[in-house]
This record gives sequence, structure tokens and C-alpha cells, in this order.
Amino acid sequence: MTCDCMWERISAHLDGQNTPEEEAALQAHLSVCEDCRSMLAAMEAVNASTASLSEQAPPRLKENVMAAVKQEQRTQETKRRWKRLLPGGAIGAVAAVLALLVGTGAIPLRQLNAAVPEKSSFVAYAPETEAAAEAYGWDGATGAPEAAAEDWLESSLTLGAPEVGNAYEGLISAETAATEAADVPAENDVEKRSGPHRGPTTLFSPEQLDRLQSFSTNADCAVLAYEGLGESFLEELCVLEPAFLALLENATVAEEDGMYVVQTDLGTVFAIHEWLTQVLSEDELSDALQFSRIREYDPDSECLTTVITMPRRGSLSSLPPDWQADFAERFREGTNWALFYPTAEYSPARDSVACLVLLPQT
Amino acid sequence: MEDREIIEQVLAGDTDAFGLLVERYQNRVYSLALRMVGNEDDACDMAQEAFLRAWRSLKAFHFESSFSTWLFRLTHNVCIDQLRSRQRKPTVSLTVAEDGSEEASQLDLPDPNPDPEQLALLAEDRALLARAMDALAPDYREILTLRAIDDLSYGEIASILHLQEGTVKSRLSRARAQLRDKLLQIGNNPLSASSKPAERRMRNDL
Repeated sequence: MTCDCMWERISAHLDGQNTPEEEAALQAHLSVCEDCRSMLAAMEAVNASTASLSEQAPPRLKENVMAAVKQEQRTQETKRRWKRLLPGGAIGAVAAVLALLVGTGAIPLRQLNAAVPEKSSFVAYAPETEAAAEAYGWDGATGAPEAAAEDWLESSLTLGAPEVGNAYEGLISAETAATEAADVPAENDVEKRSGPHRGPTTLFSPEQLDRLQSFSTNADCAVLAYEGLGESFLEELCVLEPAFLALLENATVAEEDGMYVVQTDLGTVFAIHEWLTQVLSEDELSDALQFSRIREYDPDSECLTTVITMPRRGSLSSLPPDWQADFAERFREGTNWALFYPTAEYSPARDSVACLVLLPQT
Repeated sequence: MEDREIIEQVLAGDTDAFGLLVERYQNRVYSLALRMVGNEDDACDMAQEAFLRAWRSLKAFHFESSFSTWLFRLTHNVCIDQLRSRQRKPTVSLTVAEDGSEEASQLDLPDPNPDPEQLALLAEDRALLARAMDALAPDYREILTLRAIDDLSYGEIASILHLQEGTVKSRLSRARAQLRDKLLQIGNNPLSASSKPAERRMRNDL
């Protein structure tokens, strides 16, 4: 037996890891081998010293671990609460549907600016020529739609204050507040660009949060449908700002054909839109708000509410057929326009603008 | 309180109880990380990440090993990841290979036939010991640390390092032989192997 082999046994002897047979063989060898006795003594000396090698962890270690653990716990709790919102529920008296479509399926929030929807459809309700206006039936008896369309185009490009009617006080007050709030986000450029994974981030000032909260109690019922912003888009928003989750807890949330359908009051529509303007850059926002869809008429408010995203050079024919029919019908009949409200700026990249339109039905 | 009881408390929703586990193991986890990554800041980060991973996976921990073994394995994995990412950066050298040639030369060093008492004296000099440790191949440093910090069995060390038990045995003996050589080398010629991180490290020792 070589001494090299014995070194292993000497080492294992120190750790009490030899079998009885190995130990016996080692002892027999040690009795005749001076080199190995010397090695045993050396290893014993070394071993005794390494036992003292334990270091003291810095106090910040525990603090950091516990802070990180609690942060994760909050995040998980938020996700659980969000999931609890999801079991679905009947979409009952529905005023409108807001569909946020990017067009290419699941796209993480922070990649939105890179998302190029190949097959997205556009709606054109802002005819640039009289012929187009006529083709869309905007030469109604009052002539109001045409003028309104021009006003809208103007205002949506400049984000100017929209012309508002006066029959829908609740809606208008919410809308006005949203307009004011929309002026604020410029300060938040940094947060706006950062993804939702940077730990606790407060996007909004307490005043802004108050305003968002107040939206949810101010107005009528609406339904929001989200698609294409990533499976976890709303979830990420909830994690980012628990107050947003609180808004949604007053809502019914369901998953429908890969879309999140949020039924809530109109104030929350504004609040969510306000939220998006803070989280997304202007271009991203414009990309996200491709088009929207009127789904139902709300007899209580006598109002159809929708958010539409309008490319300036889109075509009605590029919409899904049932949407085409729906929109064509609405816009032919809806000669009594209450207001146009632009909710986003023109996106040169997409050549489109986003616009919230409130359609009274009288 | 047993680890198991604490873990059950944590799983029942008592997050603060996890702090008990952190307190109990932080020195050992930190020591292991420090020996592996070589500086205090990184070691603190690695230890934090290891604890965080443990917390995330606590539900999946079914006591198939002791909690400490599992935790050290997580620490080992976190540190390996870190070392690999460092390795991709050209400026930092990583591991000394633990295979044949280099090792053989270590073991074949002419034995100066040291007086064990002299060796013990050398090893008691903690700064010297730390420098000798730093001069070891990283794998040796790690396995000696694992053995030193928690009196782990060879089987446990094997499961932490993803090794066969036989490898643990031979690696430990080589690590000890190499440490002896390094101690003698540095002890007999204090200027030969400078190791500033080790000295800095010792400041925290009690």
C-alpha cells in the first residue's frame, strides 16, 4: 500500500470517516511508517486551524435578506390577489369595451417599443377628404359629425382640450380630471421607462393616486378588454403599484379568449388609461392602443363609450368584418356626437393616434 | 427550536421566523461564499441570494437532506454561477485546475519534514492561514471550508458539491496536503505569496 493512499485515510481519520477496516489498516501502517506519522501530525495541525476559519457575516446580511424576502412576499401576495380577481364573472350590463391590442401576442411591457404588430388593423374615422367623409356617412343632417371629426383630428394631434357637450356631467368631470392628470407624467420619465421588475416603485404622487381612486367612484360602468400586452401585463401593473390593484378589486376581471376583460366603472377606464400614460412612453402607448370596440349600449347613461385608436391612413376594411359592421353602423347612426376626447398623442412610428370617443345615443 | 419546526412556521405564514434560520446559518453560509468568491461584498450578495433562493423554494424542500446541507448546496450553486459569470470577463482569472499535473507537483514537493509543532504555530497565525487558504486551488478551499464550518459528513459534502463520496475523500486529503505545503511555503518565506484579500478578510474575524 502506497503512502499516497494512506494520506486519504489520514485525512478521513481526522474526520472520523474511515470504516473500521480502513482505520485498522491505517493504524497498522502508521506503526511502521514514520513519514505517514509525520503527515498525520501535519494534517492534525492544519485541521485544527481550519476549524477556526468561520467568518462573521456582516449585520447587513440578515437585514438585506429579510427586506428582500418581505418584498417578494408582497409581490406574491399581490399576484395572489390579482389571480383572485380572475375567476371570471358574468359581463352583465356593459357600456363599452376598451381593447388594447398590440397584435403580436404576448409582449412583455418593457419590450413594447420593439413590438411591431404585423397584422394589426386600423380604423379610419378621420376622413381627410370630403369624399371619404361622405363614404363613411359623416355628412349627416346636422353636419356635426364632420366638424367634430375635424375637431377631433386637430385635438388628437395636439392633445388640446376637447370640445365637450354638457349632457354628461359625470363623464365629463372624470374626463376633465383625466386630462389634467395627463399633463403630469413628464416628470416621471425615469420611472416610465423602467420595467416593472425593479422592486418598490411609486409611479404616482399621493395626489395622483387620490385622483385615480376618485375616478373609480365617479362614473358609469365600462368594460375593458386587454389583449396582446403580455399575459402578465395587468399583473405586472398590479405588482408595480398596489393601488392599481385596489382599483381593480372593485371590478370584475375575467379571461376571455386570451384577453383580460375588466368590467368596471368608467372612472376606472380613465384611471387605467392614465396609468398607461405613466408606464408607457407615448409611442408605446400609441402602439398599445391600436383600436377599440363598442360592445354595448348602456341605457342608464344613454351612452356608448369606447376608446378608439385611429391611424390617420388606415382603412375600415382592415378591421375584422364584424367590427366593420359594428363601427359602420354606430357611426352612421351616431349623428349626435357629444365629445371627442383624445387620450394619446400621434405616434409617427405607427402613424396613428389614440382617441376616446363618447357616443350619446338619443 | 429545530430547523424543521422553524420551516413549518415559515410555511404557515410566519415570515419573521425565517429570520431565525438566517441568524442560525448566516455565518456559515457567508464563510462558504467568502471562501468561494474571495471578497466580502460579493460574498454578502451571494449569501443573500442563497437565502432568498431557499426562501423561494422552501415549499419544495421536503427534508430529504438536512436544511443546512440543502442551504450550502444553494450557496455553492449561487457562487458557482457568480464565478462562471466572472470567468466570462477576461480580466478575472477563475479556477486553478484540480487535475493531475498541477496536483501531482504539489504532492511531490519534497517534504521538508516539518516539525508538527512548528506547523501548528504557523497555522495559528490566522493571517498566514488565510493567505495559505487563498493560495489553494478554489475547489480545495471550498471543500476545506465546508468541512470546517459545519462538520459535515462526506456524504453531505458530496451532495452539496455534486460529487462522489470517494472524490470528497481524496479531494479533502489533497486539500489538506496542499494547505500544509502552502503554510510552509508562506510561513518560511512570508513575502513569497502576497494575498491582500485575505488580510482584509481577517479584519472581520473575532
